[in-house]
Parts: sequence; structure tokens; C-alpha cells
Amino acid sequence: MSTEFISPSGLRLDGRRPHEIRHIHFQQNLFPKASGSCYFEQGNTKVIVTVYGPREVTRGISLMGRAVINCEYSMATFATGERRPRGKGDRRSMEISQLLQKTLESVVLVEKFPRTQIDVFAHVIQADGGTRCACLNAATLALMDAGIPLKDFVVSCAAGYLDNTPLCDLNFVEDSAGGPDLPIAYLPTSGNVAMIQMDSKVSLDHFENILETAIQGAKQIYSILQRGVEERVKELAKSKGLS
Amino acid sequence: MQQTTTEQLVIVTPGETIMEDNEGYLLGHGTYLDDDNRVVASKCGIVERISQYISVKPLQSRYMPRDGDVIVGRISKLTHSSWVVDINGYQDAILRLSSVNIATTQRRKTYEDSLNMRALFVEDDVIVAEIMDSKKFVSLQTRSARYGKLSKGIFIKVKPMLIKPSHNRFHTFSFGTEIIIGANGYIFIRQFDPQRERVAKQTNPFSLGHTVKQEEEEKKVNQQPVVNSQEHMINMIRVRNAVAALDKLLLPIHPDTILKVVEASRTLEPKYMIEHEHMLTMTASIRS
Repeated sequence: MSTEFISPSGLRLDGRRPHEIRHIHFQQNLFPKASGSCYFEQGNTKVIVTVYGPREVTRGISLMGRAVINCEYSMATFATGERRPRGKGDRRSMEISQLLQKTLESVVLVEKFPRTQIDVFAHVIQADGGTRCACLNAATLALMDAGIPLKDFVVSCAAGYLDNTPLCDLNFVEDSAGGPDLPIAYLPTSGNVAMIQMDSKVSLDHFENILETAIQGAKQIYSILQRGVEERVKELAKSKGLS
Repeated sequence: MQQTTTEQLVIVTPGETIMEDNEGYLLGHGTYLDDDNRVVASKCGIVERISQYISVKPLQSRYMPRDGDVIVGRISKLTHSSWVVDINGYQDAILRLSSVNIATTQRRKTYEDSLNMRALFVEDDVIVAEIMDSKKFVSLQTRSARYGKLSKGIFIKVKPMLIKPSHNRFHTFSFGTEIIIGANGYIFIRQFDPQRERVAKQTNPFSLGHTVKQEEEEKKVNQQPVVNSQEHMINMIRVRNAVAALDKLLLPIHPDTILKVVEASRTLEPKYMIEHEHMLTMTASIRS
């Protein structure tokens, strides 16, 4: 007997509609020592991203004319259902670290900081599907908190296809159901997709639908993040007594 | 693109268009020009427009060096002909051997001088210097007798945006405490020393030679053990805690505001100044 991912009344396992994203909550500037930081919740997935820099290059080579972006993704041992000691060097972590780096390179204005490095550390403290998406969203907010200039927001959302319906923002159960998983990174102002990945196979007729679902989800996330960031600027301006 | 306003403030987030066309406008920090010649924000903050110059002022950023700024820095390492100084910016600054005065003179530095760099400044020393050039590398100079190594005082770091532009970064309070408010957010508090001031005033940084008398005076000043009496130390601590309170509450850091907070704190013991409720009461007159 196969599990039903969408009830007859059209509700998913956690009560959402197919095009609904999970509840988002975030808070910036948690760590005074870091240049920027962000705690980000997307449903039950919780991540913390800290950004250091731009600062003098401490490891690797410095590039003339631009900053180097180093990313590190890691999962806490208590992040998943089973406690599992993980090193930072396992293949999945390295893949996602590279993914973060390549995606952020498309928005950070690196030419403004020659011969420096920007370090982005992403820690997943609770994983319930869509950790790389949550990390990208949190990284955008952390970079903004650090005052690093960006061309645009990077918003990330994943979409899938189960029970003949495109689903937006998969949680862990839906993700492990064996259907396709399509995380994307979207640049809202230009409307460009900066990153796209896919697990499993999907037929060409469904692909466009799923991609569109992911983009719509990303747009929803963008409006939430943008509103939140604006609110923060307003509050800071008020406390600074600006008129 | 939406732009929200709060009492004439235009708040933007990265990606938002500030202007449709960059016709004749100079673009400052926090903005960039996209492929369609639109002026787009690259930081979250408030749009600042001063005649033809547009920039986005973020509410939290590192220090951006400018020529002529007087700053406080910390030596981070030595190279064969210069010191690398941490100035709270995106990059460390360089203080070249040719930009310092040895024994109040300005002369060509010899090979022996470069071997003796450690006699002047070593790692972790705090110095006050002026920014000479901030185009490619930020370089500093300490050619005035007022600049140089700082010691026997308290160092504190605050947010650079709270420091207003000012001509005089050295300020002495009536109770004898001297404060050096670096434009970069690094601040040094020490006891005012009239002897040192006299030597600084006497020595002319542009003199080509030096007299034996001046060198002797300089040696005397440096060798005298600076005795900070308890009263002086308590005053220095009050000033330091006042600065910390202003920094925490995002208030401008300026000798006037610091003095107000110190005066308001006279009834408290210095160690209670850093508690949140006391911070609020002390700064009440400034926040209103």
C-alpha cells in the first residue's frame, strides 16, 4: 500500500496545499564577532549561516581584482532523526559547499574587494528537507547583514512531483518518497535562475510545470525576506534617530 | 520596484532600482549600474542623495578609509620595510618605514633603521596615525609628533558609523582624561600628560634636522613612568563605559555625548555603568 502524499481534499501530509511554502522565520545579526549572520527557519528545517569578511586572505591564494568566496556547509550530529557523527569532508557536504559558492558568486559584487576573502559558514541544526535551499536563503540574509554588496537577493526553493501534482517546498518525507526533487536558486529582480539541480527523473512534459512551481515558491519567499529586511532597516533607522 | 518611505527616508534592498537612468549621476557605495543603465541598490539601507551623488547608506558596515582621516590602529605584522596595521577595514593598512619620524626627525631611512624597526613598533602595539593614501593600498603616516604609539590606556572598539567627521580627534576632558576617537571606530583612552603635549607642540614635524635638546626631551618623556593614580584610572574607566553604552545603544560618539553620559554616571560606581537599565538612564538626555 503506497503512502498518500495528497489527501482527497488536496492537503499534503503537513496540511499545506501543493503550492504553499512552509512557514519562514529569520533573525539577522546574532553573533557580534561575525561580520554578518542569520538564523533561518523554513518549516522544521533550521539553519544558521555566518559570514566573515571581506578580510585579508588567510588560506589559499588571493586574487588580484576580486574577492574569493569560501563556503562551508555542515550538518550538526543531532540534525536528523538519527544522531550521526559527520565530518565536514563527506561528499554531500562538499557538494553543497561548492553549490553555495558557485551560486553566491553570481550575486556578490566581488570586484569591489580585491585581494580579500569572504567566508560563508552554513550549519544545519535541524534538517527536514530543503537544507540547501534554506542555507542559500540564510546566506543571502547573512551577506546583507555583513553589508556586502549584492546584485540581487538569492532566493531558493525546491519543488517535486508526487501523486500527479507538482509540490512546492518539499519536506523530508516528501523528499524521500522517490519522486523528483528540483531545488533552484532564483534572482527575483532579473527573473533569472542562478542554480538548478534535479534528483531522480522527470518527463519533459512535467518539467516546465515543476520548474514554474519552484519559481513561484521562490517568489513567495522573496516577498517575505524583502519585507523582513526592510522592517529591520526601518527599526535601525528609528533607533539611530534619523529623520 | 517598490520603495518604502519612512518620513522622507527611502529604504532599499539589493536588486531594487533607485533610478531608471543614471544620466549625470555619480554612483557611490551601495549602488551599481546594471546592463540597462539603471541605478540599482546593492546594499540594504537608506538612499542618500547629495546633489548629483547617490549612495546607499547601510546601517552597519566596516570602516571605509578616506585620505586625511586620523585613525587608531593595531600593528598586525612586520615586513622588511613596513608595518601592517589593522584598522577595522576590509583590508589591513600599511605603515611604511619612510612614513614615520624617528626621534622626531624626518630623514632618509638607512639600512640600520630597517633592521631596527622593532625598536619603534612591534606586533599588537596600538598606534594613532593619519591615512595618507587610500587608492589601491591604504597607507598611513605618523609624521606629526602627535601620532605614534599609544600606551598606558584603554582601547575600545565601536561601530564606525557612530563616529561623526571631525577635525580634531584628540580631546581632553576637564577631569584629565584624554580620548582619541579614531575615524575607524577604534578608540584609545588615556591620562592626559601635559609634558607630552608640550613636547608635541615644540617639535616641528617639518624640521629637517634635530637639536640635541629636543631628542633629550623626547627621551625624558618616554622614560618617565606614567603613574596613573586611582582617581585617574576610575575616570578613564568611566569614559570607557560611557563609550560602550553609546555604542550599544547606537548613539553618536562624540566628546559632547560622552561627557553627558559621564556626568550622568557620577552617582554610580563605574562597574554598574554597563548594566542595561543604567545605560538607558544615563543616555536618556541624548536619546530624547
